[in-house]
Amino acid sequence: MAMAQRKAFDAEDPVIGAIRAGDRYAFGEFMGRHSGWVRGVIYGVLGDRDSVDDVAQQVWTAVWGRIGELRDAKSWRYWLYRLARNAAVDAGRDVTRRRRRMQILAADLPPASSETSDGGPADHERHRDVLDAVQALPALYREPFVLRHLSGWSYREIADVMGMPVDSVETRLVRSRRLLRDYLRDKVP
Amino acid sequence: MASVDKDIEKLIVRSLDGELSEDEKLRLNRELIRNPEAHRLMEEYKRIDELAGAALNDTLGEERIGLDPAGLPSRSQPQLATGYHRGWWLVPGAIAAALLAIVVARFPAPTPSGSTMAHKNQLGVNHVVPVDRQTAQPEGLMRTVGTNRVRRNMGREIIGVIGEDGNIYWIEVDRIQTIKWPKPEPLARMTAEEL
Repeated sequence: MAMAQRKAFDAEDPVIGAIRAGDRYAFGEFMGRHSGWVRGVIYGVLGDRDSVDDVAQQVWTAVWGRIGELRDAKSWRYWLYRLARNAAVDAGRDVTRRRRRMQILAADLPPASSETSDGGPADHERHRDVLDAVQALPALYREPFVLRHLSGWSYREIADVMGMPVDSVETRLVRSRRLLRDYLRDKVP
Repeated sequence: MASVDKDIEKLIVRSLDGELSEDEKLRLNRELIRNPEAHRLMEEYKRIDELAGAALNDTLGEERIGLDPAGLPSRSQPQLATGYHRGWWLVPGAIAAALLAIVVARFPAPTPSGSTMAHKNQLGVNHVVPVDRQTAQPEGLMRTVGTNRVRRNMGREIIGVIGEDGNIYWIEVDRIQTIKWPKPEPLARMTAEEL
């Protein structure tokens, strides 16, 4: 029902039309509005911050080039989600290889300093612990968790793009909290 | 945690995500008053949400789009291919290559002008070499069929194509050219054999 309601009016419909017609300004606006959650999807799949920007750039280039493949303008959000997700899955293989190499290198390197310019060492440490914990979540749980916390999406919106029932989203969000609580039990006061 | 029912845990999470109905809010509030464990769990999840939200926004929320719409390629240029779209051109490319091979085989090149020289290689197969290109490699196999001589030139071409993903893809094209022309006059053949 909610899906049907959202389909009835979508402020992005004319924007999609303009992008199809080759309006670069409209594309820039569209990109600015949805860059956040697209990055969230990529991070949710990859769990690797370093690759997000590169993959996001590939995704937006693909959006520009393949907007003609979007048959129903009203399903742009799902289409964009799939594009971002597929690009992230493709990039995931490279990330896995790079992680293996980094693990080998890290064994030979001295530990990095935790000092930062905009926060104390304790804050930085906690920040890193939380990110590590999110990264350690199975992608199954990380993806909806990031969409919820980075983009503020409702359960219905997450369910629509991920193609699953709202109940499943809810279950995954409960389990992700449970796992994070276990991971951070001794690290976060 | 053991004393917090899973349904209540679900309500806590839904409450933090702003997904509770009015009835559910009432039910959760009663439970939070009645059960200190549920209250503690809610505080813990709330803290985790705050920290995770801040960490994610610090790390991913900043706008760092390195893509300038003005610099995007025109729609006619190749674009990124992902998933099953990658390599979509391989099938039409292979069909085009096959058609090219058929066309080359069906429409022979003009009969070579001037006299030709025939000689036998170690396998006993005649090769024909144009007289004016005696130093060149033998061009193909020659056979006599009925009153015609048939020459078949065979070659393999390998075409390299740079894909959109930066990889180089190789397409092999087998090219067969069949040339038929009447048997040469005996004198000309004798001359060739003598040579």
